Amino acid sequence: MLLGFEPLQLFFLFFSSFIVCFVLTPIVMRKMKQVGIVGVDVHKTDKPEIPEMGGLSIVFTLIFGSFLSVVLFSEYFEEVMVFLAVVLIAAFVGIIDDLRGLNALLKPFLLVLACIPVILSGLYSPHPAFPFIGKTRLTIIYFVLIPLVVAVPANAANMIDVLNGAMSGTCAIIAGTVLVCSLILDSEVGLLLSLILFASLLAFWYFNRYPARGFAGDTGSLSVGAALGGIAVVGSVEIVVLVAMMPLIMNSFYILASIGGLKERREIERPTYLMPDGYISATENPKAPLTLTRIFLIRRPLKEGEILKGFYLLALVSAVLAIMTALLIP
Amino acid sequence: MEKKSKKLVNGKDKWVRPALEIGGILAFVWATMIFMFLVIEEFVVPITEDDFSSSESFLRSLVQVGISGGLAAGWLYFWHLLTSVYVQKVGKILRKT
Repeated sequence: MLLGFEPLQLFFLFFSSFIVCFVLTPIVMRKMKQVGIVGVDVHKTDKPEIPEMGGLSIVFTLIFGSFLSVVLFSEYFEEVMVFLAVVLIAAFVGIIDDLRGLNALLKPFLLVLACIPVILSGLYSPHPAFPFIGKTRLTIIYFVLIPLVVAVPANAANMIDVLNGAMSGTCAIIAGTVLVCSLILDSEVGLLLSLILFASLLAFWYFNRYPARGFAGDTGSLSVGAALGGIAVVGSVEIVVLVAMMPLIMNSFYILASIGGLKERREIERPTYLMPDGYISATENPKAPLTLTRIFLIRRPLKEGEILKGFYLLALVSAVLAIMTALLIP
Repeated sequence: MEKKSKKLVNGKDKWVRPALEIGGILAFVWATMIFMFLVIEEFVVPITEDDFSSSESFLRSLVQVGISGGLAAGWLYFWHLLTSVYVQKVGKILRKT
């Protein structure tokens, strides 16, 4: 038994979620190409047109995985449904952003709405556990912070999605880390939800990895980020998710700090540019935001694939730190 | 072994060096976060009823949250400062060369 779950049932949930996403992703990408929802891959010299909104397959897989887990483990019905509601609200915001484009201020505001299912259900524990301290009593503060716990990871995942496979790869590592930490911290809900997310992100990464055959779009990145936030609150693994997401938070934190708040995409200068030989270089424009990619490129220009390997290594460093954090929680 | 690691950093795998440097910043920031929790555990959590009467329990919680929040804000600022120093230092070295 694994935290009261039958390992075979968990394996079935993981495997079926993986297969569903693996089958759905190319179908969604083909459909997007047919209807002309494509984006230009700006980090390639030949500027290919790549299908956008491929992240819809992650959303469909999370719906499938959630219903399957309710069938297999009905005692977690409420928690799984709240998680699904959070993901669906974020996905809806992402779809509008992909199709119409959302104002820089409106998007985070709409993402804050994704926390409503959590607040209405009351399925959160205002006793987050911290290393050494253990469980704390943050009744009022926690309630105030819930909107941020969902909106911050959603925006962070959205902001890291600038290179092929950057969001899907790093978030897959984060979801895998949350899975391990849930086992350490005895969080059944955390284990169940991170398992579904991990399976869908692994399958999606196969198609999104460098060189990408499809983009996740805002639909994918916002729902994945909100899913991580939802797992953090519903599964009571807040501090672990925060540590595992450190590279993504660092990226968004620096973008916001360097451009002085939320701004429209067209108002922001490009932090990097593509050289004729296919290398990506950091711009010297002082008005450009300080992104993680730009920090990576300070020393020398790198190929997109090299930057991505660096991103994955950083995510792995954070994964180790998150597991150490979980072990330090009494 | 040393040759191999040198090659990894300076040779073909040029991505390793920035990843290790930024990873080092993250690890250091994490260590300071853990230290911050230790400080809270040692000095903030023990602020109990001995220091405040029962009618002042709200004030006690407010003091605890205020100190912890201040420490967390300081920690975030430290993270920001550390990365800024790294970016400026590396930028300066590159401009000199």
